[in-house]
Amino acid sequence: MGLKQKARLYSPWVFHAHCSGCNGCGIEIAAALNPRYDPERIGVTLHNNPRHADIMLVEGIVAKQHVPFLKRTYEQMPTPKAVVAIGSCAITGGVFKPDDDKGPSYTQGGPVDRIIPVDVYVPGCPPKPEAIIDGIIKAAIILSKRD
Amino acid sequence: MAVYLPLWETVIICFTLPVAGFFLGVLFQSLIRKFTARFQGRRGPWYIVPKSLRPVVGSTRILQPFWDIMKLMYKQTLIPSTAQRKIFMSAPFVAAASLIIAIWFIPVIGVSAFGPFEFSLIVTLYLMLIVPLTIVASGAASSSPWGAIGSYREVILTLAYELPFIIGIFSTAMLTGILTPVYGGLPLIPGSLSITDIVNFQASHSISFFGFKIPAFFIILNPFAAVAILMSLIGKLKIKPMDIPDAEVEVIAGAYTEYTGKLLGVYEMAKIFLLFVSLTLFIDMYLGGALITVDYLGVPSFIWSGIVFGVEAIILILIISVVNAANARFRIDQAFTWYMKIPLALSLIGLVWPYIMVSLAGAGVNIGISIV
Amino acid sequence: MVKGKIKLLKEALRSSGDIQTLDYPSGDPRLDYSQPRFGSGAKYSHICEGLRGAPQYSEEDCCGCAACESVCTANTIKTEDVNGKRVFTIDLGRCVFCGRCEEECPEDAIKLTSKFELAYTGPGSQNPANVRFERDLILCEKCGNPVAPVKQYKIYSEKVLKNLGEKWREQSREDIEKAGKLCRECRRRNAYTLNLHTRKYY
Repeated sequence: MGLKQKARLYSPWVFHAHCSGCNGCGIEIAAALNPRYDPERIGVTLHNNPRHADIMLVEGIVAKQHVPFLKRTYEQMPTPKAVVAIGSCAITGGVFKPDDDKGPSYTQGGPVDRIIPVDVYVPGCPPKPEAIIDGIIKAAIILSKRD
Repeated sequence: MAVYLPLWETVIICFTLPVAGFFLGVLFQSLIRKFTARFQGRRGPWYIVPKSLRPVVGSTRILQPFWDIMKLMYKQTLIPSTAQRKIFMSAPFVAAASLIIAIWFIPVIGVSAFGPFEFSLIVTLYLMLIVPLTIVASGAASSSPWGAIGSYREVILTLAYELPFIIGIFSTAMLTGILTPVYGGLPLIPGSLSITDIVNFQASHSISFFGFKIPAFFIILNPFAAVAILMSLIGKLKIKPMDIPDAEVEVIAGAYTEYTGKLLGVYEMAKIFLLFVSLTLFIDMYLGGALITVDYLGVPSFIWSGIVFGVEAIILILIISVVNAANARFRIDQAFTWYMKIPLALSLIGLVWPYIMVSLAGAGVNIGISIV
Repeated sequence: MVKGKIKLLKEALRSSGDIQTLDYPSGDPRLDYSQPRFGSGAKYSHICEGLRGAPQYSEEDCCGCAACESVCTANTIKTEDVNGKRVFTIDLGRCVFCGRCEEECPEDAIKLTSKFELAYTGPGSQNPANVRFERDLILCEKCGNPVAPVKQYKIYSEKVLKNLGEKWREQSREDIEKAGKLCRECRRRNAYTLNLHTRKYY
């Protein structure tokens, strides 16, 4: 493993994008970053600035009003970057998109991977903090393999 | 007269000392993160990663700030189209370069390139002041509202901590001049403004403190100025109660908001240099510069000096980490008022303290301290 | 102010020996409830009691009745009858881990495990979240519509016959053989010709 890959694997800085969710996943993300789980042990720190971040944690159905902002936030991150979709809402639409035949809720802008490319999906409603840390580690491994 | 090292030694020191300073600064930063985490009941960066995780996340994180910087160096750099391009791009390099030059003027365990220069203390103070100036310039040039707020706060905080800092530093520098001819000498002779002279003074003299013979550390001779300087360094290093200009939850990252990739990496490097320069300056000024000239137990003196330097730096880092962990952030007006109240008062007492000591000694009053 | 600061310093020094952090990514996942789970020196397993993790499907036990689909609140489990097969698709991305499927399954073919590290990387790669399996269906002899899954039919006919009295068992077996090959609609239409009308079992 070269210096570049090592450096990227060792210090993933995360950014938490809250995209019109119920805040259940948000609380779990906050729990995953607190002293109880302390991801700073493996170099993960929370930066509330997309320009400093490597990994974006997205939660919530992305409401139609939120779509341009999510796109813009994603574009503000410098490459290489990775996106982690957290919770069933972010992955598939969850309860807001009950069935494909009936169509989604009228506010829904779609699951996250319809708007921006998603690298890691963390299922759960909400996922455990441990599952979120696991997702961040997997995203960091993906990030280290980028050019 | 200033006595310099031979030219080739000076050149070697000019190249090696900043590199060594960078890695020492990385270690100090890592220790601050670790100690702060410990005081908050966390673990902090893993120094020894458990065996089961080593294939995934590596074996140690002692150099965590170094990996952060390397990662930023391998990232894309975005520059806002509305930014003042020249100032925006040059500011971090100016900050890092001025601190590298400052390292040349500060003796580390007595080793220094330009430390014997007669005004090296003033040069160092100027070079350290360039860093807040570049931060102010870059925040204003980034054309971001967060950057503008960060610059504004940086200006006020700099004004607040720079006054006690400079008064304290100069009152300490006077000690070399005042205390040399302390008994019967002229009390108003100015001291040396060369840091090497200050270090050598502390190394070559010792004081008897109620009968005990201890090295002539200026922290004992002028504790008020030392405390004032430490308080100012907390503002200079943006330790917790004073991290107002780049408060994460208030102004996104202050002046650094629009910085990405390599430019941010250079700023992080400048922060680490600033940490190293500040701690070394404090050790040089007040803790004898960690300079030991005697070969105790047959071990070369520079190894003893290195050990003493490490211990003193760790003690300072411990103090800084406790302050970082045990305090909430001040508002900018509270910070300004606090600096105008306590550190400024302490540094003014520190300015008068040598004269009081000298005049007491001249009047024949025993204050328990005498220089040998 | 000074008093408060001293108290804070004491607190900071105390908590430096009182580390609250769990050893998650490295820790021991075995269950251990005898140790204290909070405070310093907590022996913690990241699998707590009653954790509802990833559902585990046993294709052997499943009879294909689709009771899990009908109770699934998040539409995680979906079924479709295509070409004489009942296709089950399970998309973990929608799952809310409520455990209703486990409750309802008559054959205990679905169970929630304690596996929680479910993060997967993209639909393109190997995706542990999507499970897909098929059950054979009985097709109607007359119209070709699906009747019921083969295994479910077998299990339930055996259960019915076992619970019936000795007197009617032979008669019922004949009826089941005749009626089991027809769909609901055809059964209704041909009830008279096949002598399938309601009997009184007494």
